[in-house]
Amino acid sequence: MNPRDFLQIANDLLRSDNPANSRTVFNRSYYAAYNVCVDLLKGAGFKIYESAAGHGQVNNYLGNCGIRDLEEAQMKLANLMSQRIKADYRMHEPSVEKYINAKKALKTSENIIQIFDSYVSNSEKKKMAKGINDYLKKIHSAS
Amino acid sequence: MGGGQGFNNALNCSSILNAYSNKIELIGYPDERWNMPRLVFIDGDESDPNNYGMNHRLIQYLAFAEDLIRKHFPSVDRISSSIEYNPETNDKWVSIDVEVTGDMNQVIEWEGSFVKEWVASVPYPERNKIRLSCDII
Repeated sequence: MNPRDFLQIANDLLRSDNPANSRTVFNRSYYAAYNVCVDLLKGAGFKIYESAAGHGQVNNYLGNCGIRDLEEAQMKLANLMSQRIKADYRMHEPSVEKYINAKKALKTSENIIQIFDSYVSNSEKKKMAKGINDYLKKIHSAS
Repeated sequence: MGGGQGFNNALNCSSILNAYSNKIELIGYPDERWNMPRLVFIDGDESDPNNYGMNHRLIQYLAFAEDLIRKHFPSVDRISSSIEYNPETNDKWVSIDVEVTGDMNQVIEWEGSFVKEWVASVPYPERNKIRLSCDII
């Protein structure tokens, strides 16, 4: 399945302005961008856990890849994840029930995916993989 | 630890340093799942045998984050913070919650400029332990 299809679901949910829809838009927006990132990293040769552990792994890899655009995309993804946690677990939190904030989350996800999509060529993936592998070497030599 | 309510004591950003000074010092330990360093709050996972102490200087970055928010979000109405917690992974971070007024695309642009300067200025993993949650009011 193409994770970008979650964006369409999020768009469909925005046809109705109600708290449950808005919260779900945050969730689908995050997972669309997250899974596009997973595909990018897997395409560059990295094994990404298909479990909750994968979220931290994606942050660590992308946040240390040495390519500023991707490091900024990681930070935006982490911010979106923080809002996704509020939307999914904090039922007292009203901000994630507002239509405009859900719409912003969807737009942010689209922007993040656009950045990831600009790194899908083999040459860009090689640069990213080199940055991540350099980081992993540093980590391994320090431990 | 039961969800986020215990951690979600919203505070004025100016009081973050005092309020959380005994909670947000970070320590690192190799995570066996992928053999990489990982940071936790010192009061977070005390039973983890892999923990070993190392301060990663998070506190100074909270004040910097507030300065950056005021620089990049001209219509900021309120800044507060809470310690957020992911019940799926047990990870914690400081969520800086910003309320702004303005057009959605403009706010997204402000967020982009904030993230750009944040990433350029704050090292990983500290920057990943402070996350922006920007709400349009």
